[in-house]
Amino acid sequence: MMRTPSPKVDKTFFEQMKDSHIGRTLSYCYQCGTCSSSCPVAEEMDIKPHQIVELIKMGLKDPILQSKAIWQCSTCYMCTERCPQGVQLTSVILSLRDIAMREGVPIPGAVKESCKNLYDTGRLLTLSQFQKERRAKLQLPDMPQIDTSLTKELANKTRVADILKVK
Amino acid sequence: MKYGYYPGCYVQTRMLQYDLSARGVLGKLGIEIVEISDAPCCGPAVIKSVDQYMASGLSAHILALTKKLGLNAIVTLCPECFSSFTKINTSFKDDVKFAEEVNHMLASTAGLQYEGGVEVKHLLQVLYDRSDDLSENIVRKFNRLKAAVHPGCHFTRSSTSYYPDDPENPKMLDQLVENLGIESVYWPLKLWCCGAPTLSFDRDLSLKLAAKKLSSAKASGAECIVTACPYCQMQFDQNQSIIEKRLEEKFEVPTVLFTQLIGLGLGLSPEEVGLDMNRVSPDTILKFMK
Repeated sequence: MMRTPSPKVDKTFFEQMKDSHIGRTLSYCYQCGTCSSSCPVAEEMDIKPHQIVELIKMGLKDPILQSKAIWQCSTCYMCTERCPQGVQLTSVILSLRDIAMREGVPIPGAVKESCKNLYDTGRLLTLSQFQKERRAKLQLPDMPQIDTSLTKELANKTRVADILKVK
Repeated sequence: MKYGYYPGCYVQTRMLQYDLSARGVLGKLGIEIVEISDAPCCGPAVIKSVDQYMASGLSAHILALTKKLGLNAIVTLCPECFSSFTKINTSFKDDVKFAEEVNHMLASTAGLQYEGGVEVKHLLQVLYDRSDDLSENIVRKFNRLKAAVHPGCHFTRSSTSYYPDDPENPKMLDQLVENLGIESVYWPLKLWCCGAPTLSFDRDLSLKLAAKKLSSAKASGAECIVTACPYCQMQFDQNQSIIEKRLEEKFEVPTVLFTQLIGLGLGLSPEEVGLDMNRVSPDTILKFMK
């Protein structure tokens, strides 16, 4: 029988996560599973919410970062709301996405697209000519163009610029 | 009190009926608003996934802009924007180091800093606070129309240190529509997510979630769904026919924004609340109107 190689253990991963205000809350988890039983998408996830917490503690970084689960999270905050220990799991998952991107794990195209819109126009979504005319017809105020120097500067100071490779 | 009016990117570009009906309702009640439409994106979950500081920088910048306009409160239509701003107000209080870092970044880019002090409200709260005023101005009611009320996750669970409503048993939106003679039905999946946030990451999963919610609403006897979020509205209304095709099952549940119902109640016409822009025909709802 072929043995599957064991995933690499990164002992510093949990320590790194605990560095933030949000990540610190992971320490309080006692694996009751309330998060997974409250999660509307847990049954579809390859790693369940309570398992994500345990894998972080075990330093199993790669399986988490490569999981579908961190992108399947609907960010509904039900786990965070119901956690008896105050673990901020939804926010932890959002920061796992950030780490995954930093480590070069392929990211959904939609993320890049949102970043591009934000960088180019200052908004997440832009107005098509049709929608522009429709707003006018409905006598809704015109959407002014945004001065994008702020969003561009912010982007340059953060990871958005790396994703768009504009730095 | 004057509010800074921040409809958000999605409402302004894709959900014009929300912008239209919200302005109509605010106008009818004489609630004064100041446009802050030239402000950038609020820094929603998709940006938080990339960089927390980018997202927080945007949210804090908008609150700082609001303050600069001499306003002490901002009203949002989108729960996602509501949650972005609420998180800034709470995290700036809970985590001083984080607030300093974000402000340092803002000072060097926009020359602005956010010191707190802008009250963040979803339109739902603003109208709820004016319930008496609202009741007095109702000219038409919906005669016992049964509705599955869906306030939206990012409104009810926007932050763990600030709750606009009971997170396990939200009632504000229910009470608002009950004032219009509508009956809010019990539906088991009321608190569940509509699936919209995963739409661009895992389409199947997202539509499956919406389908579960639609089934739950229908099985509970609801004749319509009432939303307070442009994304939930998109999921239940615009995507309903896609879901029906995929599952080969008919739902035919009209979905309306709460501002459309309230607007109708206040005497606005179906066109004035943009009802013609809803995909699933809301005609059955109009039949209940008296």
